[in-house]
Amino acid sequence: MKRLGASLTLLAGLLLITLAQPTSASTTEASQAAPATSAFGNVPGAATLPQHPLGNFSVNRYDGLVVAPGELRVDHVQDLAEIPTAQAGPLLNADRQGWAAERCAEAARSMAGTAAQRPLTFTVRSSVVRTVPGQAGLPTARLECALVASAAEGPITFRDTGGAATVGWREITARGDRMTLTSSDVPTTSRSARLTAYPSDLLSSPLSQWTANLRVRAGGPALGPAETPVTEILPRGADKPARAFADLVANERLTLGFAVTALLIAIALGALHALAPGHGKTIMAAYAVSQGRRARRNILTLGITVTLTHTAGVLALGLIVLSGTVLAPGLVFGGLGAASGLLVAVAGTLMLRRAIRTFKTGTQTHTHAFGHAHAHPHGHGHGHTHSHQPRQRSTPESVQDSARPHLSHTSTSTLIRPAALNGAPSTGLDRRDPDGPEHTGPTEETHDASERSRGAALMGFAGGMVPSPSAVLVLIGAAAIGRAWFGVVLVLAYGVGLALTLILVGLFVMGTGRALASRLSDSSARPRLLRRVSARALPVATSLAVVLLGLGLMLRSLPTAFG
Amino acid sequence: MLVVRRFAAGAVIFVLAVGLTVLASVRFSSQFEPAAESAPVSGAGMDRVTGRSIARLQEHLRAQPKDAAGWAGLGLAYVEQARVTADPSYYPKASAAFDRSLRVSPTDNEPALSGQGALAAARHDFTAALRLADRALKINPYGTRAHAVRVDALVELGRYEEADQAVRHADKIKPALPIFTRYAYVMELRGRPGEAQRVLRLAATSATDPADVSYVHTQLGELAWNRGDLTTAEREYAAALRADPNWLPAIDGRARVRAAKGDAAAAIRDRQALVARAPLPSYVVALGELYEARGMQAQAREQYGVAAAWATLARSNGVPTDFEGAITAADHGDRAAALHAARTEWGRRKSIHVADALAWALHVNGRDKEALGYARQAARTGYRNATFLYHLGVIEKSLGHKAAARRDLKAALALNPHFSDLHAPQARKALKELQ
Repeated sequence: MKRLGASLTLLAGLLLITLAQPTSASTTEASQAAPATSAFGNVPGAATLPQHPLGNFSVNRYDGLVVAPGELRVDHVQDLAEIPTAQAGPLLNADRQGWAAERCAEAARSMAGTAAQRPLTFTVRSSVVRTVPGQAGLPTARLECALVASAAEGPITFRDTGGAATVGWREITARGDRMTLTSSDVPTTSRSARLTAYPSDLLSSPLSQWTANLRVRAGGPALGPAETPVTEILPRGADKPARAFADLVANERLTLGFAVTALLIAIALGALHALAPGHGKTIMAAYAVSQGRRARRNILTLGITVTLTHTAGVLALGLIVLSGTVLAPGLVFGGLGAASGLLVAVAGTLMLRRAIRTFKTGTQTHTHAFGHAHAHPHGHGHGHTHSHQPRQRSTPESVQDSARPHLSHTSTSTLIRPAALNGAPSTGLDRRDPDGPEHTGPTEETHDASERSRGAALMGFAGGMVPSPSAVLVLIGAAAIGRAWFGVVLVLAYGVGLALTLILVGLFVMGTGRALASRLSDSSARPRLLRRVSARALPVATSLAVVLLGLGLMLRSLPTAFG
Repeated sequence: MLVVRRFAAGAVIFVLAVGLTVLASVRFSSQFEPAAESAPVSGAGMDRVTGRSIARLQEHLRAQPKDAAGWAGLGLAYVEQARVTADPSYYPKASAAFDRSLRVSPTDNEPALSGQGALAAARHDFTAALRLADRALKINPYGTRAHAVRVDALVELGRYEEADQAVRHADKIKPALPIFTRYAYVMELRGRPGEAQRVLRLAATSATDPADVSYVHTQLGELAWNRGDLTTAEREYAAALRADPNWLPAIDGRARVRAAKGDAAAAIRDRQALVARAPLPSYVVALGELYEARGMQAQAREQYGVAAAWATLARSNGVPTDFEGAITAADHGDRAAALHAARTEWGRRKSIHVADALAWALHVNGRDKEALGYARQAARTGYRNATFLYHLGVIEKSLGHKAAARRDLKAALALNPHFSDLHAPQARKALKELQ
C-alpha cells in the first residue's frame, strides 16, 4: 500500500511538472511577446517591416533628447521611405558613410535651441546608415546620428527645423541622465519605438512634434546604456545586466584582467540564461539524459550541442544584423521558438514510438518465463541495479521480483524527467549485462546507443536554438568597436555557461534520482499488476506529454512569427 | 517516514523546476512594461486646415463612436488630406472610416457613399466611383459631392457627352463651387476653352477658402498655359500661391513658366523643392527632363531612377499610383512596361488622356501604325493640347505622312511653344527635318 501511495504521489508530481512546463513556457513567450509589443508598436501587424505612415515618399524624423550634466545629447533618427531612398540613391550607394556623415551634419545644422538662454551648437559624434528592404523589394534607409551640444544648466528649448517641407512623422522625446526633468512638454518614451513602428489606428494622426521645452535640475539616476541601433531587432529579452555588460565590453579597454572578468561574466550570464524562461525544456532535456549508464556521456553530448547550436545561432543573427538586413524580430525569435518546439515534439514522438513498442513487448513477453524484455521498460542505468541482475536471472520468479526495484525506479525517474527518452535506458542494461542469456545483438546495441545520444543531441539542439538576445547584443557591441573576435569568444563563453547550468542540473538530478531509487528499492511486496501496468504506461504518458509540450511551444511561437 | 522523505525529495526537485521558471518569468516580465501611451498629436506634414479638422473629428469620435456622419466626415478629411499632400497612404484610413460609418448606419448613409465614391475616384477606380455616386444620389439628389464625383468619373471614363449633361444638370439643381470647376474642365475638354475661362473666372470671385482660391487660379493658369499665354499663366499661378504657398500644382505651373521664360535656375529650384516635398512620378520626370534639356545628363538619370522606383512600386501594388506619370516614364523607363500599363488602362477607360498615352507608348515601341488610331482618338473631343498634337505629329512623321505631320507639329508649337522642356525643341527639330 505504501508503494501504491508512492507511485501515486510520483504520478501526481509528474503530471504537475508536465503541466507546469507548458505554463512556464507560455510565460516565457508572453514575456518575449510583451517587449515585442512595446518595442514594435501598439498596433497589431506592426511587427513586420517598418511601415511608413505617410506613404512611400515620407521622411520621418525622431529626436531623442538626453539632458546630461554639461551637455545635451540628441539621438537623431531618420527613416526614409522607398522614394526618398531612391532619391538619395546614387550618393548613398557611392559613399554610404560619407552620405550619412553629410546628412547628419545637415541635421545638426537644422537644429536650434538654447540652454539657460545661450544658443546651442550641435556637433556630430557618430553617424550610421543602413538600408532595410521595403515595399516591392526597394530599399529604405535608416539614418542614425549621435549629436551633442554643450549646455549650461538651465531651461532648455529645442527646435528641429530639418526637412520642414517633407511629409513625415516627427517625434521628440526627452530624458535626463544624472539630471532630472522638472517639466517637459514631450514624452520620455518614443511612441514609434524610434521610428520602427507607427501606430495606424483610425483615430491617430502622425505625430508632428517640432519643439521641446524642458526645465531641469541637477541630480538624478544615471540613464541606462543608450539604445544602440541593434537593440531594435532584438526582443527586449536583453535585460539590464546584459545591456550593462554589452556597454562595458564596448567601452572598457581590453586588458588581460578585463578579458578574464568579461569571460567569467559571459559564462555567468549564459548560465542565468539557461535558467531564464524558455529553457524549462532544456532543463527537462537535462533530466532526460540523466538516465542510463551512459548518462554522463549523454549530458556531455547535450552540453556540447547546446553550446555549439547557441554559438552558431548567435553568430548567424549577429551577421544578419551587421549586414544591415533587418528581419522582423517576431519572425526570427518566433520562428526559432517554433522550430525548437518542433524538435521537442519530434524527440517526444521518437520517445513515444519506443515507449509504445516497449509497452507492447512488455505485455507479450510477460507470459514467457524468462521475461527478459519485460524488465526493459523500467528505467535502469543506476549502478545499484546491476547487483540485482545476475541473481535474478537464475529463476523466472526472481525475474519477476527484480521488477520491483525497477518499477519504483521508473516511477522516480519519470517524476524527475518528464521529457525522458524512456525507451532507451532499458536496452542499455542489456548491453552491459555480460551474463545475460538473451543478449541482444551488437547491431542493436549500437543502434540504441546512437539513438540515445541522438536524442540528447536533438534536445540540445532545441535548447540552444533560440539565441540569447544579450549574447547578440554583446557580439554586436564588440563588433561595433572593432573587437568582433572578442565578441565571438564571449558568445562561446555564453554557450559554455548555458551548457554548464544544464550539465549541473543533469548531474544533480542524476544524483537525486539515484538516491531516491536506492531508497525505493529497499521496499518490497507491492501489488504486481498495478506496478506492471503503471511501469509500462508511464513512459507512454511522459513521452506523450513531451510531444504535447513540443506542439504547445510551437503553436505558441507561431503567432509571434507571423503576427 | 520513508514516504515523507521520498515526498520531500520529489518536492525539492519540483519546487526547483517550477520556482526557477516562475522567478525568471517574473523577473523578466517586470522589465517589459509597455511604454505609457502618450496623447496623439495631429498633423505632420499636414495641411494645417485639414489637419486641424481631422484632429477635431478624431477627438469627437473618440467620445462619440456611434456618430455615422462623423466617421464619414473623417473619411472625407483623409481623402482631402491625401489630395493636398499628394500622399496615398491616407486612402486605407479613409476607406476604414467610411466602412465604420456604414457599419454604424447601414441604410441611407449618403455621406459615407459619396465619400466612398470620392475615394474610389482618387484611387482611379472610376467605375466604382460612378456606381457609388449614383447610389448616393438616389438617397439625396442634391448632394454636391456625389454630383462632383459623378462628373469626375464620367470624364475619366471618357464618357464626355454624359459628363456634359451631368454637370449641366448639377449646375441647375445645386450650383456650387465644386460643380463650377468641373463644368469648366468639361468645357475645356470639349474644345471650348473660352467658356471654361469664363466659368472659372466666375468661380474665382465666389471662392473664399484659400484651398479653393488656389485651386481655381491654378486651373486658370493651366488654361492660359495650354494656349501658350505665359503672362496670364504666370499671374494665375502667382495668385494661387498667394492663397496657398504650398499648393503643389501651382508650384509645378510656375516652374514651367519660369523654364519657358528662360530662367532655368529658378525653374530647377522650384522643381527641386517640388520633388523634395512630393517626389511624385510626374514631378520627378519633369525635373529630369529639365536637367536633360540643359545637358545635365547625370542629374537627369538620377531623377529617371526615382521614376523607375515608382514604376516598381506601382507594379507591386497592382494599381498605378500616378498613371500619367508612369506613362511619361515611357520616354525614360521601361518601354514595354509602359505599353502594358497603357493597354491595361485603355481596357478600363477610354478617355482622351489614356488614348494619347497609349498612342505614345505604341510609338516608342515602334508600332506607329497602331498608334495613329489612338492618337486620333485623343483628338476626338476637340480638346487642343500641344503635347497631344506633338505626339500625333511625330507618329505621322514616322509613318511618312509628311503633310499631316508638318501640320500637327506646327499646330503644337503654335498652341504652346514651350509645352515641354524636352519635347518642344524636338518638335522644332522634327519640323525642320520635314521642310
